[in-house]
Amino acid sequence: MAKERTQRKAKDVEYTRRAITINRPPAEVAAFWLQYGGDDAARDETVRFVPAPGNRGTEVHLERTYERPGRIASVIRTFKHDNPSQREFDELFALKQILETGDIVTSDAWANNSAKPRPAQPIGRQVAEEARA
Amino acid sequence: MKATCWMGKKHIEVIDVPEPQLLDRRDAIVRVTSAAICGSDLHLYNGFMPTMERGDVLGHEFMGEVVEVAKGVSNLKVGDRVVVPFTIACGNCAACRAQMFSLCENSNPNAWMAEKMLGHSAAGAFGYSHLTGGFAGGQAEYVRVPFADVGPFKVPEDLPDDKVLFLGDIFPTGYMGAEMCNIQPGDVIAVWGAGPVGLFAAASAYLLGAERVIVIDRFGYRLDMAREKVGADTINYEEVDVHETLMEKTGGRGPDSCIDCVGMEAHSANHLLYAMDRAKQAIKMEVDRPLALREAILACKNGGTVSVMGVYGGFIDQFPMGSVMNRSLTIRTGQCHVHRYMPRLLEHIVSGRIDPSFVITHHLPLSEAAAGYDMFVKKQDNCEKVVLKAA
Repeated sequence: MAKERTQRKAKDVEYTRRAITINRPPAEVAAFWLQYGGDDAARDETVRFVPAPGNRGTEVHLERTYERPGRIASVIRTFKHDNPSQREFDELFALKQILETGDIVTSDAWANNSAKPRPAQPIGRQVAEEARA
Repeated sequence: MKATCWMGKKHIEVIDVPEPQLLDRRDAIVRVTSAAICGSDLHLYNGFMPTMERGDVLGHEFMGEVVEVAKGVSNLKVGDRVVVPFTIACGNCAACRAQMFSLCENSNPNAWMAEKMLGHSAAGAFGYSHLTGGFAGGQAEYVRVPFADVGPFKVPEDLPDDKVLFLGDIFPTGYMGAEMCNIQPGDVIAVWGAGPVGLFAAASAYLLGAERVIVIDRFGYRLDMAREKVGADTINYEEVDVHETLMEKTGGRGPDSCIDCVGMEAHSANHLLYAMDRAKQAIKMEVDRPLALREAILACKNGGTVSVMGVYGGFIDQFPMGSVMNRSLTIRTGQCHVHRYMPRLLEHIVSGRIDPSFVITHHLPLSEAAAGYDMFVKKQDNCEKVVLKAA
């Protein structure tokens, strides 16, 4: 996965930037993004779809700005592993997985759709059905 | 079902856990018939790999019978007998299409975590920490196999488990270590470590045309195996100086290629050097003890290749980069692209050129996995390779 990421310090704005290469044509990637991509929490968003050199598919370049949270909220979201940079990573990674494999792979540690990983152990049938629901 | 779980540093338990379920469209469930304890499992056991969680199911070297397939898997059916590669690969990304399956770009849900530690993420793997995805391993009665249309490799019914089990990890790992040396007629290859991967690297070097293979270790019984089962020359580093002996055995040139099959928990006859690395490792000044790697680099002939198959997890200290640069050495390494090698190595087994079961010293029931780990890590009872029988 190609990637780049920076975070600019500013008083009221948080800036995130990341890129990923997806082994599918630009038109397909762009169409999928237009239908399913985007983050309502972002103040601004720019996304570019560029043919990757060497016939390697599409480079997706995503830039966003967010309102910077207060210090307490910032600490909470770090603790909860939920911040714009991580969301951006998760979103682009999911985009790549879906377009390339048709699925988002589930590991046992994340199988119950929890925000926090569990031990790498199978989940029982009931928990699996609840997660699917 | 019963599963071997990591419960903390040097603490393994076989406990009851839920049976796996199909979760994704390309999953299969495999009933495990044989699973091995790998040398790299000992890094988890000894607490050297980060991101382990209490209760993680271990095991990345296993085989068995397919008992359930999801609707996205058309090339497997219930009843198929399969060996499963230890890395998980999607088959669709650029890395998989380039046959570099251990670099699959889609199979590690914790890619963000790996990216922070390694710069980029590699593939997901079974039972090998959350850094490689948090997938339950195969030292269990059943295991869920993601991307089952790509990984599981069907094996002939007439070959017993012991002959084909190692197609999932250590045999191809040793083979790739030798293949990366680009062996030419007349080459002398030195292999650090006479564990199972080291023995397979040595055997593979001969399969690929090496003139002579020299295996280095400190355990007499392992060196005996290298001589008797593989036909290698051996050096016991606790008895003689390795560099001096290698120079003597190669007319002062050094081995044409060197293969490090030891990795992050190396020992040394130089107790001071060992103590320094061990201390740095203990206080997290370095993640790995590269004692064998340093020795391999310094011994390798000018212009030669150092192939690294031993597992390293992070940063090392005192890396002899001056030797690498000034003497035009090539370093090649990587987790094995198992899927790429399985068909050709099965051919070697079927033709009788190699019987991988020669490394097995112990069979244990799954319920005794903890004892197997303890015996393996302490090298008791001449332990070389433990195979757990789940069924």
